[in-house]
Amino acid sequence: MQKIETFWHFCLKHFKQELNGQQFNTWIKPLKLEICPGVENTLVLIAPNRFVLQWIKDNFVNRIDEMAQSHFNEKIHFKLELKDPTEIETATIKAPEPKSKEDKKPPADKAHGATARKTNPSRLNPAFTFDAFVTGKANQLARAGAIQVAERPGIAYNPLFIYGGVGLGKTHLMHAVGNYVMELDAGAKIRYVHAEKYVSDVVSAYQHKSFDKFKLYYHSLDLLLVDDVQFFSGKNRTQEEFFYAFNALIEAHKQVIITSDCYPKEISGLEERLVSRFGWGLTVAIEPPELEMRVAILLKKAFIEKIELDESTAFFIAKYIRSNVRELEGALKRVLAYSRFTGHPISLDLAKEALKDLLAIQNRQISIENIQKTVADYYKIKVADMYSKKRVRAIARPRQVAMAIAKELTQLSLPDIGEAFGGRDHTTVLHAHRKIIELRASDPGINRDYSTLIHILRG
Amino acid sequence: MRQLLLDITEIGPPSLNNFIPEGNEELLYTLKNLVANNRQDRFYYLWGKTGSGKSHLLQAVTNIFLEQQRNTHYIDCNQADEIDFSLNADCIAVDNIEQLDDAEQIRLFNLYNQIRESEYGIFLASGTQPPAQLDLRQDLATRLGWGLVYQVHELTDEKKIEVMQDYAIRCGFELPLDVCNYLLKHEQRDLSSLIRQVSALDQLSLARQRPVTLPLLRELL
Repeated sequence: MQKIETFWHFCLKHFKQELNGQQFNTWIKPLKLEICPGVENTLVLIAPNRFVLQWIKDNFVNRIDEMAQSHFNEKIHFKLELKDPTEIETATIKAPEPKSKEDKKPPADKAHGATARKTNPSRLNPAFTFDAFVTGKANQLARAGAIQVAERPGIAYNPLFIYGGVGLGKTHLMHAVGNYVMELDAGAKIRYVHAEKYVSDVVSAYQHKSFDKFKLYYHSLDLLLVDDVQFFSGKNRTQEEFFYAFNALIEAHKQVIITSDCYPKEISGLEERLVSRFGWGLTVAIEPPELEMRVAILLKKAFIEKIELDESTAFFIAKYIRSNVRELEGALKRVLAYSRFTGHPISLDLAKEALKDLLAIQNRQISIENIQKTVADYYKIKVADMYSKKRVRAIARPRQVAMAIAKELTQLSLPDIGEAFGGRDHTTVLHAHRKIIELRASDPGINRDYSTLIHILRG
Repeated sequence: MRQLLLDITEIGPPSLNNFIPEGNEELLYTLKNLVANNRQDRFYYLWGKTGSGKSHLLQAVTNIFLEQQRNTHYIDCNQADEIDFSLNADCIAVDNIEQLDDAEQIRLFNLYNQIRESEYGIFLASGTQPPAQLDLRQDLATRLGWGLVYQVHELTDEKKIEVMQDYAIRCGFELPLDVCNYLLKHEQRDLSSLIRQVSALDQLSLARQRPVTLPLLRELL
């Protein structure tokens, strides 16, 4: 057991190679390794907090065990402990895992209401970290911005404004910043608040004549995370209070992160002074994830939940569940539930069977007629214009959008699509598809229209 | 003189045991696991046609939780005038969710987030559409799709006939096929309404001392 320092150095070296810098710094670097007093051949890994302890237990302890087996010539046991002796929680390596996280919970929630929870003044969800956030083209800019803010809060970009559709990971990203800042500075005063809750806090301050307390609290934060700021729309007193809080925090170089379902200037019912302030820092969009990213999200989720999921099954689920990450996670849960029900492991066939209701809705829903009708309604043109020979841009562009969507969302061949659009040639469909891809890259308006239409059609 | 009858045809309150699993076997298995504290998730959304059995299942789960002394609320959005979702409960079941108005949706959205943030609490909801097609706030609708989502499949007509005829036999009479078909064509087609009609037909048959036939059914209707 004299080689403990050498062994830990060996572990650190390997982890540095195996993990990215952020993962290494977050999970491995804060660990300490000590000999377990009085217990032979046992080492204690000391984690700085419960979160790191759980993460190490779930993800890295087996790897450390493997390294120990290759480094020492005898069987080494590991225990995980918290740094603070008052909170010691041990977890012996390779203890049998319960079937799911849910099963570990006490039986009847008797003493707890749904809303009764541990004191967590920050309201941060510890599961929402940068590591658990899957990055792709759709969100890489937002993630990069968020990491910079997390590393230099109040300095890098202030405020950080993240916008995008529902269920795409805005909340996850802002929590990730909060968790990262908390990791670096456990004393940081952080608060995540949904805009609706902020509004009700303002109402409550009104009722209890406690605006001083309200201001004192919000103005004293180190990091304020406001989710779905579009719900401030039309709520003047809330906006006024938020304006003061925002100014106080920015002036004191305290970080503010805001999310919204749309670009600041497009939020209706928001005071101009707020809209302009939202643009002071960095404004980044999160787009719906592309196929590969959806697959990566599923694989990551499966890894975290210890679900065995092969790539072909993940591709199958991701191909059909396109609109948002929540639905994607819901579909994975359904597949897992069906696997439990049948007692069969997850496979492509099992996933097809588990999701057949969902697929039936989608197949029923997306017909070329439906696409034409939806696009015509969206652009306020006649459905007949979809088949007409008119070439004015106000009609031709929506028609091209409809053709591109038909190519993407249906299994129809290019000649079939052309036929459905007034007997056009398949090369016209191909041209329309390419044109829309180009325009989506260069024209945010078209890109938003396209995403919205896909969203409407996909549900 | 009209004969007075003992009510021996009581169907009983909704439970998971008196729900016919046909087509919904996995859902029933999942809900039985939920009430047996072997749950896979804390969030459930059931959707299906009116009369497919969503309310039955939600009430069955909440009944069991109440028997287990859990703080449980069942809310039927069709019945409640104004719903205050500032609840403190172990289980909340929200039936007919598409009936919520804008303000109620906001309150439910906040409640959902609170439950999600907390370590405890079970949330069930039902509607006639899958989450993505619900006419609700997108942020609420997508959250409904985040948990376990099940379509509640309606029974086939053949199965409904079988259930009605089984029920009739338990009541001590035979229910002719033409009566079943007539009920399916002319009356509310959900199983509980059909059973209520069969039960009423039974009462009428006993009171009139006449066999159950199509003419008797026409008299009833």
